[in-house]
Amino acid sequence: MQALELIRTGIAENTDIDPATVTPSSRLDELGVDSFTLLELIFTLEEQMEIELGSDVGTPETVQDLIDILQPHLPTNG
Amino acid sequence: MAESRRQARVVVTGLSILDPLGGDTNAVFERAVAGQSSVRLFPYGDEAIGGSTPAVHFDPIDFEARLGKATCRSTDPFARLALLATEEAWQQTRLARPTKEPDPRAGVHWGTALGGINTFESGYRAFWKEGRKRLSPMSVVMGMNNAAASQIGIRYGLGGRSVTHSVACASAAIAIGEAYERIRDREMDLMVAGGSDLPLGVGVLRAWDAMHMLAPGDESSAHRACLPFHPDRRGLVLAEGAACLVLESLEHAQRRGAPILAELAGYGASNDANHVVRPDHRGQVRAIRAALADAELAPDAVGYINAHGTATTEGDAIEVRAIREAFGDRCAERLPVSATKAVHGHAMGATGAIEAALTVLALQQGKLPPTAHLDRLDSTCEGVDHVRGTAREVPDIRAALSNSFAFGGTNAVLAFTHPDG
Repeated sequence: MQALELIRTGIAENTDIDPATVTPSSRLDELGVDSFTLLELIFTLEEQMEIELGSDVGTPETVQDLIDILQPHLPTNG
Repeated sequence: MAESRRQARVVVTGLSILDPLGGDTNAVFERAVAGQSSVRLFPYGDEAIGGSTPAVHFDPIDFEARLGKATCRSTDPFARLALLATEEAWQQTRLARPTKEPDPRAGVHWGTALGGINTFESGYRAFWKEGRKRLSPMSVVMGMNNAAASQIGIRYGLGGRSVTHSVACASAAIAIGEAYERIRDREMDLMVAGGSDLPLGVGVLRAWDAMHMLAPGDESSAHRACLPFHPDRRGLVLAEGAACLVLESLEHAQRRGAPILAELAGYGASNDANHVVRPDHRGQVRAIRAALADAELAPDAVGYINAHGTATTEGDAIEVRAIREAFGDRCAERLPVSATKAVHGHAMGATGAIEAALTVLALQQGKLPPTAHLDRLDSTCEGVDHVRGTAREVPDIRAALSNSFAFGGTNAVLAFTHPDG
């Protein structure tokens, strides 16, 4: 769930959305994250994780889509 | 010409001035009337490039609490100040916060000399000082100079004109004047007009300093560093600031029973077309005369001028010469004049709106703010009735001008009249 926590923190930092309402099944547009806000959110996450996702991010529609994008870049256990 | 095509009368139904000493606009006016200065010593930069200079600067403002995080993450402080100024002015108009479709008959004209320069200055610092390689994707929308107008338009549903005027020290006066024309010519019914600027970045400060145009001062003398019309004047004091007027056609305001603070009866603009920094009294005279003609005011009907008065050696003397020529010596010597920059400093693209708002309040309350610190008058600035020492009560005042004269040669003069005629 580390990715979800990062996303919640990023949302808290960049928007007026209550991070407690953010779940994997949440749709980004329903949360109020439009494509422009998403750009800033992804930038914040990249800065925090010290990664660069480039333009291969695609167009995530749900929080789970975002988790799937971030997951491969998170440090793995063991 | 059919009745509906005739020019509309334009009135002010809301106004605001943001000042670092806090309080609402009436508190700002009361301080101006008392000659109480907002200028303090401002330390800037770092050990490599830095120093201190008298300036008017805001302590950190909790913008997020006032405007929300999303807005703050996508705006430069010049747009945030613009939103706060508009909020106070809008509340005064008793207009509802728009919830429906944008109003095609309402618009915004905003002035800023430097716009989003602090966003770009932060970007350069991030690259060259902090060694960063990337910038936030919000940088473009933060830095663009029409961001303040855009944000105001979004928040207040202004679906008509949205124009940004960058005309150095006359930016906000031009914005107000051009907004007035949109209503006068019946293209719009309601306009938000004003200006905002934060000219205290290191690059901006040092640029002014290089021209030897900043008034010196230390901790104890900073508050009286700006000395318009004084023999010891040494230059201007840079200021952060924002101010806003809400203008409506008289019919629009009357239809909804709005409070009318003053009529914006005339606007005169001109260009010196002579020199990029040395003002030319002939250009200023043209702007003053154009404003009087537009407002159909005889010279002796004017009861106050809020002067541009930046406290430069040449500028103040040239402005007094222009007033004398435009009004005639006999009328000028009885004409009350003051330069309020002595207390609020020079907020660049916002200053014309700050001074316009102070002029409206002076007219409305029959009380003229003095030129603060004017214990001695320079002989080159004689020939008008300087308001000095304390405020002057003028219960019968009916009309007042606000002068704005910019580097580059642009001149703008706004003529306000008392709402009771």
